[in-house]
Parts: sequence; C-alpha cells; structure tokens
Amino acid sequence: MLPGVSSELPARSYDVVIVGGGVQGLALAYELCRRGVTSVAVLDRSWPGSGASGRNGEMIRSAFASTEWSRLFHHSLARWARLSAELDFNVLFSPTGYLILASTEDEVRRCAQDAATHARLGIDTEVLDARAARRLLPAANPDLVFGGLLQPRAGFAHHDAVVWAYLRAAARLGAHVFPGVEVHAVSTAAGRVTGVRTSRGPISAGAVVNAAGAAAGQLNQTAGVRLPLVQARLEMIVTEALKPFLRHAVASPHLLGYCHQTGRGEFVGGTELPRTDETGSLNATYELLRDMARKWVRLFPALAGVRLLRHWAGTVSEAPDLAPVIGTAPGISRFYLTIGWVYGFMAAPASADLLAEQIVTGHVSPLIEPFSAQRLLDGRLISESSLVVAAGGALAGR
Amino acid sequence: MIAARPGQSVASALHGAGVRVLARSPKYRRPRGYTCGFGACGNCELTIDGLPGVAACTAPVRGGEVISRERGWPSARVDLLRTAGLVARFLPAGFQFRLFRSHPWLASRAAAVMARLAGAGTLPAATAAAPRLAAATADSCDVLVVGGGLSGCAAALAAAQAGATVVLAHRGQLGGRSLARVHPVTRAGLQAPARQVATSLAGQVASHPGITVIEGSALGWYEGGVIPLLTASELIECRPRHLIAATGSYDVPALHPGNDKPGVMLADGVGRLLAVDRVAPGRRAVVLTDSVRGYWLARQLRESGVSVAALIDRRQEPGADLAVLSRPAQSGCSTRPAHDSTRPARDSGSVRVLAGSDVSRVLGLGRVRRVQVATPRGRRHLAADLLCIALGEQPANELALQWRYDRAGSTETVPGGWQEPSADTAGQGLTVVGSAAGWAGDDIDRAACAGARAAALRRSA
Ligand SMILES: Cc1cc2nc3c(=O)[nH]c(=O)nc-3n(C[C@H](O)[C@H](O)[C@H](O)COP(=O)(O)OP(=O)(O)OC[C@H]3O[C@@H](n4cnc5c(N)ncnc54)[C@H](O)[C@@H]3O)c2cc1C
Ligand code: FES
Repeated sequence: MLPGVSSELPARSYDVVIVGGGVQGLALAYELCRRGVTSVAVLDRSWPGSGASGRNGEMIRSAFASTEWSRLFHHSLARWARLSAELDFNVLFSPTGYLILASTEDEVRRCAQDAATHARLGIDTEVLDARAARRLLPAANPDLVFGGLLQPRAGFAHHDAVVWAYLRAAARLGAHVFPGVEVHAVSTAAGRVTGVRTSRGPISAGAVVNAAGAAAGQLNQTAGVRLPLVQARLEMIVTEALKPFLRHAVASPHLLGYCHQTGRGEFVGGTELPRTDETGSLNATYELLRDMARKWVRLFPALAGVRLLRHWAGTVSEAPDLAPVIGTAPGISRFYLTIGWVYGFMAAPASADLLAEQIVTGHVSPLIEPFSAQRLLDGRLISESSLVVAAGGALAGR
Repeated sequence: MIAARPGQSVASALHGAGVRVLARSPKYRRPRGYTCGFGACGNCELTIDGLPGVAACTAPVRGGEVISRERGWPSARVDLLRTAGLVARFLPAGFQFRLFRSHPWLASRAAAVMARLAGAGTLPAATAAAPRLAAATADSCDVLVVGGGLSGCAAALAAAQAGATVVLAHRGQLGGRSLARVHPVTRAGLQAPARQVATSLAGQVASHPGITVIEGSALGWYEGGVIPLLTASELIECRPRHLIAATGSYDVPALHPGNDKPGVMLADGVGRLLAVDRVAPGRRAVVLTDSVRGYWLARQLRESGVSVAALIDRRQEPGADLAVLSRPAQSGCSTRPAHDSTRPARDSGSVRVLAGSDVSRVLGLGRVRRVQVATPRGRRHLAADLLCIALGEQPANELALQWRYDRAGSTETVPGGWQEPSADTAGQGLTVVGSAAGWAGDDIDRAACAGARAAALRRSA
C-alpha cells in the first residue's frame, strides 16, 4: 500500500489543508513538515499521483528562454541532483542530458539566443551545430536535426518513484494524506480562508492550498477566485523495451513533442497538436495516437514496427502564458495556489520549497514572485518561447 | 533434427525442438518459456526478422524467418533446416534461429504495427485496403464483432443470417481458444468437443457472404466510435453501428514460488500445443485446478501420450468432475502430437487426484523438475517437467471498458463502477458476449441470440 496514506477520516481541523495529492501537493506537505508545520492534511479525491503527476513525460530541465522560468527551474534542478538522498528514496533521477532539438534555421538561431541567457544566469548549456547534434542522436532522421541546445546535467526521473518518495517523506514527518476525499469548496469568511467542505464533511484550516491540478480553476471558483485557467488534455505513449538508442531527453519544438528512453529501454514520448484540447477527458484519442506514431517514426525511423505498451492521457491547468501560478490567491488571505502547471513535475522541488517558505514566514522569494496570480489580472504575462506545449494564450510560443 | 509443420507457431516449433527458455525477465533476467499460448503473457517474445517483441506463440512458422532472443545472453545458435517438409537442425552458437524457406510475412508485419500508423503520408483509406477487405469500409459495417472464438463466431453468424453486414476481426486462427479445448459444448441442442464446434463454426463464418473476416487486431475503442483494425498490411478505420465484443478471456496464473519457471504453463497454452501445434508440452505433467477444466486437460494430456503425475484439486470434493477422467474417448479429440522428438511413454494408468491440495513451490534450476504440493496429509514432491495451471479465467474486457470510459467522458468516472458485465448496453450499441462478459460456460446459443438482436436493433435504428 501507499506509504503514509490514511484510511481513517480526516480530523476536524488542521493548520494547513492541501487540496490535491499530486507531486505539487505532496512536495509542499513535505516542505511544510520540514519547517515544523506538522498539522498538515493532503486531501485527494482519487489516489495520490492519480493526476498528471503519474502521467507525465518525466522530463527535467532548467534551460528555458526566459529569465523567470530559468531561475525558478534552476533552483529545482539543483535540488533534483540530491533529491534521492534527501528523501531517502531513489527517485531514479537520470542526468543524461536534455536536448532541445532545432529542426529549422530559425530554431538554430533561437538556441544561440537562449544560450546567451543561460550564460548570464550561470546555467550550463551548449549550442550544437548540425554535426554535433547528429552525433548525439545517431538514430534520428538527419533531416530533422539542424542543431540544438544541450543542457548536460538535466534529464529525467521516474514519476511514480517521485510521488512515492515525497509521500513517504511527508508522512514520516507527520503529514496526513487522505485518498478518496473530494473537496467541494474552499470556505472563506471576511476575506480569509476558514477551511474546506469535503465529501467527508467540513474541515477547518488556518490555510488552504489549491494544488488540484487540472481541477484548480474549478476549485478557485468555489472561493470566488476568478483566474483565466483552462484545462488541457495531453497524451503519451510508451513502447516495449528496446536496446538503448537514445541517451538524452529530447524536446522537439518543431514536432511539438518530447521523449526519452528509460533505463529499461522503453521509449516514452508525447506530442501535441497545435490546439488546446479542453475536453478534460482522461481518455486517450486515436488522433493523438496517429500523431505520435507519425512524428516519432519520422524522427526515429527505426521505431517503425515497434510495439506500443501503453497510450494514455493526462490533464493539466493552463494559464494564458502557460506559466505557473504560485503564491496567494488575490483577495483571500491564507488561500494559496500552486496551479497552472504544465511543467509541474520538474519544478516541484523548487516551487514546494519556496511556497512553503512563503506560507510559514510570509517571505516571497524573488524566484516565485514573477509567477503571482496578480500578474494574470494585471496582464503582465510571462513570455517563454521554449515550451513544447500547444499555445493556449497570446504570448506563448513554441 | 526438428520438424516444423507449416502453420505451427514459432514458439511451439522451438518447444518441440527442446528449447525451453525463450526470453528473460527484464529485471532479474529470470528464464521465461512458453506459458499462455495466446499472446497474452509476454514470456515468449522474440525478435523475428528484425521486428522486436513478437509473441512467438501466435506467430505461425512461414519459413525463412531469422529469429533471435531479446536481452542477449550467451547461448546456442540454432538453425532449423529443412529436409523433407520443414525439418530443422540444431546448431550451437549465439542464440539465433533460422527457419527455412523465405517468406516476407513478418517483415510486412514489422511495417504494419507502427509504420502504417506513421509514415509520412496520410493513412490508407478503408477503400484502399486489400481486395478481400474492400467490403469492410467504415460505413458499410452494421455489426463489428471483435474476437472469433466460439461466441464471436456464433454472434457473427447469427447477425449475418439476420441480414446485417458483419465484419469479424480476429487475431490468429478463427475459432480462438476453443481450438485448444476438448471438453464438450452444446450448440443448438447438439453436443460435441469444443475444438470440433469451433472448427465448424469458423468454417461457416469464413464462407458466409455477409461476413468479412479481418485477420488483425482491434487497437481499441476511441472517441467518435472509431475502432482501428490493424492487419498485416493495412490499418482500417472501422466505425460500426453496433459493436459485439467477443474478446474472450485470459488464463489466470497461480501464485507460488517458481511460478514463472519454463515448464509452468497455463491451461489453454497446453491445450494449444497439444491440439493445434501438435507438440508435446512435456513428458510428465502435474495439473493444478479448481474446476472441471483441469480434469479435461488431464484427460487431453493423457490421450496425447503425456503422463500425468497428479491432478491437484484445490477443492475438497471434486465430485462428479472425477467422471471426466473415466469417460470413453470422444471422437475428434485425439490430439496426439504428429511428430514428437520427446515422445513419452503412454501412461495407461488412471490419473492420481490429490483433492484439497495446492502447489506450494516449483523446484528446478531454470526449468520445472519437481513440484512441491501441500496436501491435507503433508507436503509431497512430484517429479515433473510440466506444471499446467487450469484455474479461473479473467475476462478480456479492455474493449468494453474503453467503450464505457468513452461514454463516461473520462477514465475517472465510470457510472456503475469499473465492471458491470451484466449491464445491458445493446440499445446503446455494445454487446459483450462469452467469457469477455464473464459468462461461466460456453453459451453458444446465447451468443447467437445476442448477434441476432444486434442485427435487429440495427434494423430498427
Ligand atoms: C502527458 C503529460 C506529460 C507531461 N510531461 C511533463 C514533463 O515531461 N515534465 C514536467 O515537468 N511536467 C510534465 N507534465 C506536467 C506535470 O505532470 C504537471 O504539471 C504536474 O504533475 C502537476 O502536478 P500537480 O500536483 O499540480 O497536479 P496533479 O498531479 O494533477 O494532482 C492534482 C491532484 O488533485 C486532485 N484533485 C483535484 N481536484 C480535487 C478536489 N476537488 N478534491 C480533492 N482532490 C482533488 C486530483 O485527484 C489529483 O490527484 C506533463 C503532463 C502530462 C499530462
Ligand atoms: S505470449 Fe506467448 S506464451 Fe504467452
């Protein structure tokens, strides 16, 4: 059974109630407990890791185009390097290197621009020309390999291991995790959070955190918080195990796809169509199956004929600029948000650390300050052009 | 020297040649051998003509295939050479197999699985399918039956007889698991061995003008009511007006130490070796069961010349099932291997039944040598090279579940829970029949009724 998961009813009151037992909610519970807040409950309507945290592409990097993303995610990457030791559980972080593939001259130029940002921020990246990139990806179709940007110390980790590790570590420090408890509404009084109403009755809380993943926008509305969030369905495939042919985690803005090969040899990849799928369904679609098969065989022709093991979908919440929303909810004190995550797996070690700090001390780290909810209301969107996510908002690039 | 008959599976040809280890487990590299016989367990995955991960138990020998083990390990190279018919020879070095007589079948399959989906261009339209499939365009199919076992064939026939245009998609030989079974089943008041009825139904399906048989896999039920059917050469997008899921079931393995050793086989896998591939699964078998299935299997083994060391029945009281062992021979179920390099002595004695007992461990280095049994009177060890598991069956309900998830809009919320085999969804376009629906027996007539009803619903729609 899952470590630290309680089959009892939640208590009547906690210092902090976290809605959502994904990697964000669990990592936050761990960070709060680490700071001495031990009356922490994590409520999940399903089971921990049932959301995007158990369905993602597991990829980890800190080399982005914008200063805001790069600084926050670089803090995370530093923590990933020692996360297994810290949580006393092997999360199988593999710093194999993360390659952003350039398939057009324009993308090659963009790699060079981004590398300049990274140099300024002290992030180790390397611009590759076509020859170097093809050497790194011997199995790739050279027609799609014009160059790239390599972050040598980035890579991927095992998402189930990460969920498990945070769950166990949080529980060891005293957090309570309740599966099968749905939060119907966040209760407020006089501009302040008072608790939550759940399928198992009301619970009062000194602070409430929205870490509800794709359902975050809905949960906000129960407290009267209106932010422009949509939910988006993303899909992935995994093949049967193959001899190692791909060492790096690879993101291809051109194909709108990301992939890696696991230690066991499975090829794991996801692609997107240039539109946001807001159905909210967790069913995998035939359309994406075809898109993924076509694109991945185009990039790695040797994959033709390889059998699929699984194909699945997950949902995330997205802000118009595809950047996360971290910090307080506008207008309601002690209601915190860690939502709008499209890359919320790789960011969790940092966002949980800094949000816990804010909840406990009130200090807002400059690393999360740009990601405030207020920015969406003020129209101060963050421009980040290196995401491999179908653009939902005006500013998002490829 | 090894003989391989055309149509026999690659795994059975290797098994007949004495090759017991076909694969290795991914993590601990434990040896794995022929187990389920129906492409469900992954223990026989080989690389055939460069295509990795092929379930060798369902891949027919066509000749000329280059076969190698995956997860390389130092071992023997084996060539199957042809002398008269398809006879092959065993040579040591590098663990590769060559089956004589060139045939492009597997190469085209290689292309099929992903390249057909992929490629640079668009998907082949249904009309571009091979001539024999031309009738199976998406909009001309009233009823799609997935699975051509007893119930699938019966449902397809009944639907076609009621005037519906029917597509029947099936992997492997029409008749399915019943081709491996010899117990009697009833169809329209007449009783005959399952294998015989399956063969006859399959023949009727194949020759019925209203039924298009597609040899291939249904990839799944997708939003919008699309079922992509993948054949060796085509991907056909089928949009049936009514779906009959006759996807059958899986044999459930037993939980005990050593349950993955080569030589531990599931009931239908054993039956398939005996009745379809005509290869002796072993010399001396132990059968574990909790139902009449095990008695029929023991009998089938014995009649095929495999000695049965014991029949382990988990139940205290086998009751009337014992009679199965002493019934007179049925016609049409003699399944003695035609060619058998490890031909065992015929066991003339009756089968020893240990009731209220269970297998507690399998012993042997790399393969089954002895089976440890916990009996009411203590622990016993039986020498055997084959342990047959004839326990329950798990419905293959993936397709039906996908249909339900689609209607529910998501995998998270399926009204009525995860499984509700008895729910009548025919009015909404889905009928689940046979063991896929958890039906206890081979209720062929009930499947036929469901087929006729699907056709009628289609007419009234
Ligand atoms: C296909 C796919 C690929 C991805 N690839 C990557 C990648 O390579 N790298 C990366 O960093 N990120 C990736 N992501 C994004 C990443 O998975 C998410 O950003 C991250 O998992 C978000 O974590 P979370 O804890 O916020 O949300 P989730 O993991 O979705 O957790 C939310 C939890 O809240 C619960 N919940 C919701 N509403 C309620 C309620 N009312 N009451 C109680 N509980 C509730 C849900 O049951 C769920 O368990 C990918 C996502 C997908 C879908
Ligand atoms: S998959 Fe071939 S024996 Fe099970």
